[in-house]
Amino acid sequence: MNVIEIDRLTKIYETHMRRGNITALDGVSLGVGQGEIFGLLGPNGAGKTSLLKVLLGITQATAGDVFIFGLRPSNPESRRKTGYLPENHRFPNHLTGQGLLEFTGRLFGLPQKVIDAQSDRILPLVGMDRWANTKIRKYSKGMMQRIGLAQALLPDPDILLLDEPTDGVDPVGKMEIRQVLQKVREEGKTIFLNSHLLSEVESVADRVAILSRGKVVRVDSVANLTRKQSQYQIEAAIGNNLVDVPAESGKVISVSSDGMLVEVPNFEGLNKIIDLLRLRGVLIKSVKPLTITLEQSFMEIVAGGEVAEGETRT
Amino acid sequence: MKGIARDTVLEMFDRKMIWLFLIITLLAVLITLASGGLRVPIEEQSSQQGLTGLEGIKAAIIAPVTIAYMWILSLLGILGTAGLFPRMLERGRAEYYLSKPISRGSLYFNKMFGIFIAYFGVISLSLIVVYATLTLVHGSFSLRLLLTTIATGGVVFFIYLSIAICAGIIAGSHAIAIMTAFIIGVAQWALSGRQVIKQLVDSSLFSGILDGFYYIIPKTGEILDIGRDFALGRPVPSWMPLWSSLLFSLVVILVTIWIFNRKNY
Repeated sequence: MNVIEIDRLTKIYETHMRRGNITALDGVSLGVGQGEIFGLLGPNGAGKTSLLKVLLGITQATAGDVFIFGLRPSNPESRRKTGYLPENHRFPNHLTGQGLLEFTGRLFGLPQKVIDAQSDRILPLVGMDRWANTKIRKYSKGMMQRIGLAQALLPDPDILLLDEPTDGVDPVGKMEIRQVLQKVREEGKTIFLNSHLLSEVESVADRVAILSRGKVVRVDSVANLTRKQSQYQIEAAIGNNLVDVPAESGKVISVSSDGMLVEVPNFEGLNKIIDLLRLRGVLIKSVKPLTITLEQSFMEIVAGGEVAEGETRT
Repeated sequence: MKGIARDTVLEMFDRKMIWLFLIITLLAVLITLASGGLRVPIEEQSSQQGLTGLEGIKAAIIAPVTIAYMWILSLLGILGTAGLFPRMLERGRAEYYLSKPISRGSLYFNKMFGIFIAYFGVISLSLIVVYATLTLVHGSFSLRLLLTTIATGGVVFFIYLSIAICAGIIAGSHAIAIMTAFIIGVAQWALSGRQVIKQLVDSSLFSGILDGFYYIIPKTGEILDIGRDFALGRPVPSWMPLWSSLLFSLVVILVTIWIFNRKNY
């Protein structure tokens, strides 16, 4: 069952000037299942933040339908079990970190006991227990992100919506945030991750949607997006054997004494090449589909960029 | 929702507004103490006010002073609070508030309630201190005057607050919120003297427009007069300025919520 359902969502910002309207989202349809880490990718201005804002009722849709737990964003109850970390947030800076969590808890209508228990659990989890009584205005960018994640986790949400969660966080902090997200996923919660850091999304997300100019251009699993569909790395003791591959089976892209990289039209072609190698007495150690980074896949899809050979990885 | 009200109080302390009110209160107390040596021109006042008895005459002098002090504090309160809504709804902060499971109408009312309780509470406290000092120095304590002044100040503060919040939400600007409240204040003052303006411009259309604006725009100056008359036990000539101003505020609040519900952040 999908906990987030988006159907032909369109968002047009009217400028009231002669500059014309801005179409941020153009017929976007998506579904996110329970317990899934879903990544939303796209270049700047693709409509990622607008999509999150429409989901939360911060911005209203021009057309289409949006549901969270079957409720429309206009119903405040749709946000009862959601936690949100906005991009470029500015939390009330007269509060301390602890104060922000207490205030957040009250806005969710949580009893003080629950707020205290959740604060005690979450502050160490995001590494902010030492700074809980310091005013937010004194926090660094990384600390702001951590306390932002803490306030998003406070209501013990079933859906966590994160907009650029590691923005401004140092590498150690990024790793810690990834660990927190994994823990949240292990609890069966859904994470909707909006990021332009593709490596970050690749390392945590199950599925990804790529947005470009307000349209979804691809929705797929990270595994599928990072697989170079037709290329395989064959690890084998080829030595000095010359292997002539029939054209209908595929073609050899590169060959060395300990393996070869082949491109095949289908699995049958791959098997024919393996048969050929076996006939020549070549010992095959492994056959792996060639994978590329999510960034390379993203560039191919969005920008139509060429993937440099040296950047491919197995 | 006590969370938002409590947060507004914390915000007030953080913005050091409390110190401003404290300094004004201290200054007012010092001036009041220094006024102990002044001699009240009793005969002149008694002929003007039509009052008899020393206590009544003193009350007739103390009442406008007290109400004027309340008016000044309310004005400062509006200047201090006009930016709170634009501040809450600025980019990066609006997302925090609006992503919570509360409706925008509820957010509006709770924040407005928080501002009213926090700021008007301090204003009332300041008035009580100054009025207590005033009556200690000059005598003539009247609980009726004190309560009426607080109620009158509360109405005036509420009216200007609703206007400032409306402008703040529509324009998203602290400055425009203050300017709008200021313009309404000047307009109501000008319209209270519309009979003089009518004599200057001999036009029935112009007179009609002036009268129309007079009945629409809140009449805070006349509300203060109502407060003074009521406090002194005099008959109130007309309650219309009070109820028409409150009606104006009610309409402003409804329009503000309607706009707030439709705004994109």
